[in-house]
Amino acid sequence: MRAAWRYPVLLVLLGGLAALLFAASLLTGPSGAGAAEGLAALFAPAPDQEALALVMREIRLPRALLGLTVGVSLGLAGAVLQGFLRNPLAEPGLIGVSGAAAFGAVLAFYTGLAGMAALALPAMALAGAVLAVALVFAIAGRHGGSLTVILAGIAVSSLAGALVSLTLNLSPNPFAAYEIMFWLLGSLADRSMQHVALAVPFMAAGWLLLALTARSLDALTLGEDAAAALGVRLARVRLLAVLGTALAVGAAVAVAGAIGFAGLVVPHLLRPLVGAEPSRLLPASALGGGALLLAADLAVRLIAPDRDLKLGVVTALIGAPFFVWLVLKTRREAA
Amino acid sequence: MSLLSVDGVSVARGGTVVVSEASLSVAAGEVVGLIGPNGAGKTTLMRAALGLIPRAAGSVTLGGGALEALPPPERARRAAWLPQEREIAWPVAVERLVALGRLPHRGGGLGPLPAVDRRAVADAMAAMEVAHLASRPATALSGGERARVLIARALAQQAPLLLADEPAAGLDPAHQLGLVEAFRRLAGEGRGVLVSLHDLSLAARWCDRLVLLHRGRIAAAGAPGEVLTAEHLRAFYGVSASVALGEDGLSVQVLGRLRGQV
Repeated sequence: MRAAWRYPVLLVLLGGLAALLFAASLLTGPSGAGAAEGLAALFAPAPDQEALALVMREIRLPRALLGLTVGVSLGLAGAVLQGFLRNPLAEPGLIGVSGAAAFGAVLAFYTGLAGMAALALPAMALAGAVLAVALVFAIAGRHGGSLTVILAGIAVSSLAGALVSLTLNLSPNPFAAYEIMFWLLGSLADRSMQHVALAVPFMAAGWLLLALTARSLDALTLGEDAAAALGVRLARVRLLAVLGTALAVGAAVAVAGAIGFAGLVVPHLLRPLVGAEPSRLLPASALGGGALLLAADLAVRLIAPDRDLKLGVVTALIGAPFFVWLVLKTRREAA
Repeated sequence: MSLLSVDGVSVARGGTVVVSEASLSVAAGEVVGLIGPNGAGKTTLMRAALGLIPRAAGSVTLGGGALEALPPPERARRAAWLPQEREIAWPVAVERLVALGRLPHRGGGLGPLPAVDRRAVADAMAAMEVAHLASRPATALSGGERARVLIARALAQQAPLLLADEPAAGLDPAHQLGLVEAFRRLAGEGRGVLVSLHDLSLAARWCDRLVLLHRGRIAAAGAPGEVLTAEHLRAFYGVSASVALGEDGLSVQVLGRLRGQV
């Protein structure tokens, strides 16, 4: 009976951790208000708390909401892609979605659209993500297996990377290039409820598509041939996985910039705790991703409150050594 | 009743015709062995029979229904498939891996298995003698154990028909016999088995009928004694062999390779 309880307990613990970090994110910031004061200002502000209510509702709430939802998107998409591609090194960036979304955003800066309309930047990033998916499918073909999807994703990623470099190269003035580069680092600072309203519906749609792959991912543990003979429609799973990633991660990049490694690290850390079953990994990885990103976003505010440390930089700093550890572990197991 | 009937099926892969106008059938209660040298098209024929790869010509009837008319989950309830590649991507517990065979029968959900599914999983693990491995990670098993776990997974599917590609490869003699005994039990329950085998002695003794595939064509078909003749082995395998009918069945002994042939 103990084994049967372990999984629900894990989900409750991860959910509790995410909730705790969400609250901590709401209560962290330079205004220096106390916890009780801050929460009161958020839900039922006293007449003299107008300034604090504004801070809570317009600055901290969107930041915490985006931390949670972007983290859920990255964790879930990472778990689905690893399961679908049967590759522990897969992550949302692998299929070109992050790179293309970043290019869309960069184009919005370059053309000046980003300055004209607040939502032009995320909208173009989303368009980039959708375009990346279309390209991946065009290259991989209708019946392409997981390896073809990886290769097509790498091709699209490098193209997007080259186009970002080209845009930087041609940027009209150093300030524009500087702005683009800072945006690319990835951050949740200074986002508004408008960003939340734009991104969350897309992310939620993406989560739904990704969640529908759960059972098929279990069957894919036995390989594509055996899964197909178990009744799995491979083309449908591929569509759900790639389109779901484009919506969830595309929307995440659109509002937060490129945040690497979370989608790789989270499923990997949680896999041993869910008995390695791909379907069980999905909810755990979604909650874990939310918790990790909220924690990292807290860290950038606590470590260097005055330096505007970028979230993407911190996740990469944590992620790169982890990746090395992963490679070493794989090497040991192979030996 | 015919569980599987393949009529005039041809398959082209990468511009080459790999299987050409092959026909065979599997009836309820029989174990049919598919034999032939490497590259004869055994795997391709079985995959085409399951609709896993497109056919260039011919038709397939699965459990009385045209293959194309059956949605994938219904195909999975009519036929189980055990591929030759023994792929296990994640270190899932053996019991949960075997339970994947129940996927075509289940509505979904991440919760514990219903009693009927647990029963099927336990029976399949007992049949392949892997019950003691239930909680071990499937990727940490030896080659033979892994093979038996995957066979148990296919048995747990409890489909009327089982197609198995080289299931005996890598098994020790005792477990090879355990495998064919499991197939005979399935036949005894009124199910059908189509199994490709390289071990001709195993094929000779345990199959009701044999189909010999050579260069994509069916070269011989019928009772083991009719198919496994010294002439056939010479012509299609390029080996000299002695075939003898003893008290406990047909025995095939390969003596040597013929030069200048294959």
